[in-house]
Amino acid sequence: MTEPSGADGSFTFTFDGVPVRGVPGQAIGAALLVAGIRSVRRTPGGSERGMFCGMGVCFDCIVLVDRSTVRSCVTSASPGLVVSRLDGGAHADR
Amino acid sequence: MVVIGAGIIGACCALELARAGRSVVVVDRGAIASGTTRSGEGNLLVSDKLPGPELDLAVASNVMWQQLADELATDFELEHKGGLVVARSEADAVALRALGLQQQAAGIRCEPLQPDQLRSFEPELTADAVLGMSYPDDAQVQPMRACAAILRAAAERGVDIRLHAAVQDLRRDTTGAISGVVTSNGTIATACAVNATGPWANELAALAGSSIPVAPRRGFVLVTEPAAALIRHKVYSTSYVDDVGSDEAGARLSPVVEGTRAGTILIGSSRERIGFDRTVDMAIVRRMAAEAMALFPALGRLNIIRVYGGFRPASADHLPLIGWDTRVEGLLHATGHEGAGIGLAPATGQLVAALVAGVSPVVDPAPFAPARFATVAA
Amino acid sequence: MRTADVVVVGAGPAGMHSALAAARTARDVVLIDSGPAVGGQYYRHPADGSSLHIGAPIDRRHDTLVRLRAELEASTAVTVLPSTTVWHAAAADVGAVLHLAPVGGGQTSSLQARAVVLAPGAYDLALPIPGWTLPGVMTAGGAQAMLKGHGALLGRNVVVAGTGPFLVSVAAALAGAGATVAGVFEANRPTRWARHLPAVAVSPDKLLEGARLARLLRRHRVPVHFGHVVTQVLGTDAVEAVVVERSDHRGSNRSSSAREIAVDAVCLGWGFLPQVELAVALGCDTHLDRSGLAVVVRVDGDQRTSRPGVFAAGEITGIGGADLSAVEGRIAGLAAAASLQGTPPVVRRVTRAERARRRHFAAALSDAYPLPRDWTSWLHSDTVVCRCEEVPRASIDESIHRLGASDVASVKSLCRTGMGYCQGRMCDFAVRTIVTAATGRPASHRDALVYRPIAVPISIAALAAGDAEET
Repeated sequence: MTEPSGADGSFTFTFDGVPVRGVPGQAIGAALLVAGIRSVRRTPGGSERGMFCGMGVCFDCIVLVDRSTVRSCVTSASPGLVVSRLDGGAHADR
Repeated sequence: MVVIGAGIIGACCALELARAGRSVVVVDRGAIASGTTRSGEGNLLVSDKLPGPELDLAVASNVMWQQLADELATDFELEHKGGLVVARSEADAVALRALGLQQQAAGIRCEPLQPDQLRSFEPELTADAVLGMSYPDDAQVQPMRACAAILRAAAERGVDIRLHAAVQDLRRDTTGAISGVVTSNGTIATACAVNATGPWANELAALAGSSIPVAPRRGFVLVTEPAAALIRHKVYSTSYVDDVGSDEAGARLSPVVEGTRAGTILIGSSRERIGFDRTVDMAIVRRMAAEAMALFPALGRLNIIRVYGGFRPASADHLPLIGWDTRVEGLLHATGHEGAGIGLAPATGQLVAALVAGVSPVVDPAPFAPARFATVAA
Repeated sequence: MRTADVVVVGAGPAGMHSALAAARTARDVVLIDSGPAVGGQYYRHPADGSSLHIGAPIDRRHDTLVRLRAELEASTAVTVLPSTTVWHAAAADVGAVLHLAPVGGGQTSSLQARAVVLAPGAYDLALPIPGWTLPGVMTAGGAQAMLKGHGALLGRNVVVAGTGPFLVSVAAALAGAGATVAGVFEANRPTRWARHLPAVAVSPDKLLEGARLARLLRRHRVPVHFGHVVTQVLGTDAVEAVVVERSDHRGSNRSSSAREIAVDAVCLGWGFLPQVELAVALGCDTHLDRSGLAVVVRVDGDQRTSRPGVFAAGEITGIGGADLSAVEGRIAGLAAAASLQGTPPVVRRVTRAERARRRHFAAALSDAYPLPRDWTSWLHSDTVVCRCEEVPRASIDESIHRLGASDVASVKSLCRTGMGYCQGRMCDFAVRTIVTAATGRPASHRDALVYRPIAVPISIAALAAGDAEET
């Protein structure tokens, strides 16, 4: 499903089903930050994590896209992208 | 007594010698478990062994591993995860069934699983599995923690552990017998040295003018990102058993896949005789990935975060060398366990202690005696 | 497999200059970067006309970038491969074979480089403190990247802490974009510069840049507190406050000075660590840098590494900033192109002199902004040191004091520090500091050197599928 674009080329994607506005070239994690979402996953140990290094090195901001983990700080958002929170380990069978 | 090598074999030898009342010094050129022990997955397997002396040693060891887990103060994550061997062709299934029958005759518990049973036993397993053989007694430990726990127990019994002390020479008296171990950190006088240096054992033997047929056999392990509860057992293909026994110098690959407590999935296995070159060969890594995916298609979506190599101490006939050197009095070898050293370590330690004391060990030592390679009289 | 004359890895200041310099004589130059466009972290920027620009531009960097980008576009010799990661590098007799994958996954490919210039840049050195895993804590470089590249502020009410002039730059950018910066907490004092006046004197541009940023901070009423450190971040599921303490140069805090400041975000910057994994994978000689913080690649006067056909430029040879990276990049590019003919590069004396001057300044900078020596005393026993594997300080202590670990590698395999997603990039330095303090064995190059043949995680499916067929 492709969302209608805004005048500035903005679009929406979803994070755990919640619509989030993105701009072409913007990383998923940045769009989440702008939307006020700073916690993007829960670790296997049960603690909340968000973006930390901001340049693809630390992997703290990983999210699930198409059932694989991606770094939300370096992976671009796109119209209609379905992004979900990781809770614990990466489930390849989910 | 000086035990050379602070890996799992050296640790078990030191503990058993200390229990037998010996005064023991352990030396290592690096930190604890800085060689083969650190690179291993910590397998305690019965499934990959044919009836014979190695299986006897493994069975004796597994009993001792449980005792160690009960006795030692440090948790080393002993887990009876169980093994599953998978046949993907009718021919392999016939061979696997035959292997299972032989093993059952030797007292090993195993149970054949048909495809419909496999789906609940290991849900992500490939649909083209023809037959599985389940081995409930296959187990695992965290090898570093196990080694550290055993060394700590040894130290509590008075064993002196000297790390970052490289052995530079084995001193011998006028009769040619061992009289001391020269290290970068001083010389230790002793009439008995235990060679527990794994794949470097022949280099150590050479310091005393001896030689043993032990050489490194390289293996790589691929480590995935953490993936909760995707794979339940240690799962491998029937080809693994053949590979262990092969004598090829070139790379032999067979898929071995298992989940760990940390959530990561470990993927093996490769075997190459290529010396001590640690450089990762991506062509082999790619083949290992393809083989693992053939066993578990769902693995494809997971990322590999790390690949590392290690060196198995491989003997010429795939059996460990445990016993006195045929040429040098006072030199006792405990090496050549190839990829099974963690599993075989406790019984190896017991065997070594019994040989030193001159009493009879839990298993027959004869098949492991280095003398089997001494074709020419020394 | 595709072959190229010169492949430059990293399109920051060093890489862009390298590619342009190489293109003067080499016919087929490939410039690879994981970002969607050239520029690297230093020139991080959104696409032209994008609505992601927020706040006023704070420096003239953009003009330089536009010029370099135009030159790269105009060059018929240079091909830019954006959004591409080099996930593995394999040694060749001369040059290297680079294993590539699209950022975000997809089919791999290989590129045979007759000569390669490694210019992969650096990432923030992070020091663990209690609460540093809370959402809302970011590295200074990360906060800057999010702001300048993606139009995202990490919070509304922010403190910036750590050491080095970069903190001021980040604070000015955040304030310019509309954040309230409650303070810049600089662990060191400006008086440390006194002994480095000659280095400053020959780099007056740096002095001017500093003065300009200081003016910007004053305009936004951002207070700068020298000799202060953030020792703790408070909050349950996100940042709620920080604890700030006075610090002497040893990092021994006077806890009587501790005070809490309510904020919703924290930027921590303690300097940078170079990305050396590709160089290590290729077998290039490395050494510990002068501060003892980082493993860096050894190069000769022409930026050659110990491996034939492998050159290195920028932060990978020692942290030194964009200007030093640019000049090293120019020399490396010339040298890489010349190596194809088997000749030494023709490098102007003024270029070499500039490199010497920039290195002199970088050394002074490193001396003027040391890490607080006793920073590990800020850690509590339950403070997570390894973020990926969630390993607390207590487990590291147990590995050393109870289980007999005597080096970094044995700590790692006993308690899993550095075994997770980032492969120790975030915690290796901290673990090394804790181990060396406990064992009394000095930090060695060997302890610091980590072999990471998989430079960036790669999916099993991509590995299994093999490289793309040549087209």
